[in-house]
Amino acid sequence: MNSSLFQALGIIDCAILRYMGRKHFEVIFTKDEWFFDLLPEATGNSKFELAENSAFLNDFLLDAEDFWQKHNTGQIHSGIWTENTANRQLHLEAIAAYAGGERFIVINNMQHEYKEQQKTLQVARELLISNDKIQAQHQYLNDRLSKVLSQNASLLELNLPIQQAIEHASIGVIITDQKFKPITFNPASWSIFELDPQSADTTPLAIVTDMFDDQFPEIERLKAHRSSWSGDLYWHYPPRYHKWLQCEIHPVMDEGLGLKHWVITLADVTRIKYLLQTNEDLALHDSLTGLPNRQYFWQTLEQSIRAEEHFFVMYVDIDKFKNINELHGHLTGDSMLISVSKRIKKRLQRSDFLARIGADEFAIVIKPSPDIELEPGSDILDRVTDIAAVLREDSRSPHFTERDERCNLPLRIGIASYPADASTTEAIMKAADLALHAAKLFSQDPIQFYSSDLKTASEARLRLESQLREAIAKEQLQVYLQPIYDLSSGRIVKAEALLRWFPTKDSSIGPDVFIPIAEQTGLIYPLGKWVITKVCELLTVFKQHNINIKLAMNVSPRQVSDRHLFEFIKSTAERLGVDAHKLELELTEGVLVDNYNKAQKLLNSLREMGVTIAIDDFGTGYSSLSYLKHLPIDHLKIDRSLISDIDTNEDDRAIVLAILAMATQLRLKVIAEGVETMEQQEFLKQHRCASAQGFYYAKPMPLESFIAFMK
Amino acid sequence: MIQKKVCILGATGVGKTSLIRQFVEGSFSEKYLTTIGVKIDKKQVDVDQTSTQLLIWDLEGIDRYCGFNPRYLRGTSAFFVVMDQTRSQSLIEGMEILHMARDHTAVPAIMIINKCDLDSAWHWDADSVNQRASEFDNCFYTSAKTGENVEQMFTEIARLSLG
Repeated sequence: MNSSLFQALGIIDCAILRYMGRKHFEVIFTKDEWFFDLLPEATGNSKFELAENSAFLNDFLLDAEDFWQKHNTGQIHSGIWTENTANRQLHLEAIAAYAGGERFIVINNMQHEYKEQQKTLQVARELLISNDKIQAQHQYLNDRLSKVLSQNASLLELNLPIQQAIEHASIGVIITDQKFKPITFNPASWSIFELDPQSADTTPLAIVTDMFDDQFPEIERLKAHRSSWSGDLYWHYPPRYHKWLQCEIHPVMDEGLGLKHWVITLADVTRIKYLLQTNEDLALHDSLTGLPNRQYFWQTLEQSIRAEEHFFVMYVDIDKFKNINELHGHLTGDSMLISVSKRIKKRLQRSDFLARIGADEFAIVIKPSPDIELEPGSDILDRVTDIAAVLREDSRSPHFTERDERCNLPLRIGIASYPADASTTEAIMKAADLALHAAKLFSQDPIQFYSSDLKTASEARLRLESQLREAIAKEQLQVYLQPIYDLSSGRIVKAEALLRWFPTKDSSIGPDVFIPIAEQTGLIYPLGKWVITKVCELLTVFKQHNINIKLAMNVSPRQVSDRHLFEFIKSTAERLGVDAHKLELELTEGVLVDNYNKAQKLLNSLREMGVTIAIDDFGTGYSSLSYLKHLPIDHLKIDRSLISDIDTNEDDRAIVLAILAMATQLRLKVIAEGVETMEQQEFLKQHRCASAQGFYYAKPMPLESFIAFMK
Repeated sequence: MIQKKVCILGATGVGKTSLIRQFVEGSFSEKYLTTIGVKIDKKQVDVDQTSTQLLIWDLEGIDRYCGFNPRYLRGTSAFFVVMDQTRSQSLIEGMEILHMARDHTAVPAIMIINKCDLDSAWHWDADSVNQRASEFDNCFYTSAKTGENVEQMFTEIARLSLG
């Protein structure tokens, strides 16, 4: 072949070899000496047999032969490799190709590409390593401090190693009380701000607070909800100082989940930022996803407001993303973030601006654009609503890891509009953040638009949360009991313990309101423990009154993920002398599907102890029934929504009959919930449902009434 | 002479290339230079009077910029997973890399805790290191800078690769 043709085509720094079979090649084209340095066996011969001079090339040939056998078109690449020959160091890449019925190996000299790639990755990786070190320090200090502070009555009781770690830490540590009043500063927190603690007229905390007010308006909500935060803040003190600080804030709770302290850690990351600035692309883009970063997003938001454009901000959060990192590791977590970002991007138009603004948070600015044709009669709001719905719908399909493991990454979305909802950058972000927070709270409604009602509801919810915290601390909640009947004998065989909350004499708040709040805030842990203790105490009272029945209690998803749950149940039962066979735990299907491994471990331990298990609200949510075969389950509780229309709704009747048939096959007993009429009871009896509970028999009642009722 | 392929894996910046350089050339550079792709070095090692030529495949650090490529493990007789004792995240990542490699090969693996000439990160938890070391066939604390245990780690991998 004419070498000048290759040169004319711009193919000038490669070698092209035609594959003749079993390590035999013919040199079609090569220009430079490097090729003969690499494969001296080809010197002076157009046809040659590949020797063992390049282990990498020999290895790649196995892939090439495999590829040629299976395909008759296309190519595969080896990736870059470095080869030390007698005369030089080469950076090469091999390609196996199939063209015109013939097989070729092309070896490209990648000297230039290697240098370019190395230059970019060098900066990126230096950043990665610096970041890693800072992150690890933040995490270690926060973990240790949270653990110690949550147990100790006062900071004075901090043990010596922790005190020394704080004193000598290269990152700033500030500890405050629950109201954000400073308690202690370590030396680094002063030196970061170039302050002398003896003579300074301000404190590190005052500076941090000012920076938050200006740069991170979401802080007030985070404080109100006792959430953690991490991110970068810019400290500018003209004319001498300007620094980038990586800041983390964590609440420290006591065992009863009362807020005790805030721990703030600060690290100077100016050098990292400087490195970033040497590469504009890295400065404004997130290195993982390649999307614009928070800084770029903020700039775009400010520009849009200055231009007085009408736009929407969509704040997108991946639900429970932390679990992915915990379950599959951070590398998989990173690849899942890339996968999510690609999925979102696919649904947007060129004029929409997508950024990654937090670990598992994305934000989108959506503006009206002449390039986008809207459906007749629809406007930008319709488009925003459609995008949110499509993103949410897309997120219902699982992502897959490299090992082909399934990851569910549902999205929650908060939306705010400029100028309707807010008129400044800070305010619009606060509004979108509040909407996102609402979307996280209401599992049924993962897309929320900001409204003043939402703000009022958020404030009301905060008040309720605080009341609930107090009610739990003061043990103001009550356990009511509802009997469960054996349908064949008509006898009471069991009771279900149900929580009730009467904030005042004349008012009550339903468990459908306060249990989700307890779940979301973590109050479910102390509350759950209180219920377990109470149920065990009730069983001892039953014994005194010769009431020989089981007592069932509900366990929430978050409790199941608490690895100390089993130990607590066991030790409480033992301490109060309760026969474990008298205890029953009710879990919903969702817990088993979402948290299978933990649920399996817990259920097996409980079974060994003698506790029975019932699946609550059965038939309403999930279709994955395989867990029924593999887990030690005793009862299925048919949800009340299926029972209530059993007389009139053929579909409900069919579902109930199917559950009863399936339970018979699996040797599980069925309890019907919410039975209110004789007709419902008769239907269930006729189809061999084992037990039932509901208003037809008795409403939930306090202990004294229950004892009287039993007698 | 017997030839054995061995691979050196680990997160970015843990010192894989420096360990090989110390072993093959007896030199060390303080400057971190990231590896791109694969580089293969050769060196003869004598184990119990058997001379073995090690083909040492130095693989680019596994991180967000470079995924794990199991193809490079093909035909390997043993492999190292290198961690940096000044950076605890490299321990977590190293274990993830071990588990990914274990999906593709059952050959012996050696844990290398490098940079032992430097102070360990003050949050580096020795107990959790020991616990994780039990998943490997052997473990060495090394320094590519001073050469501590570098010769030993390669002799050990040669021994393990001979079966």
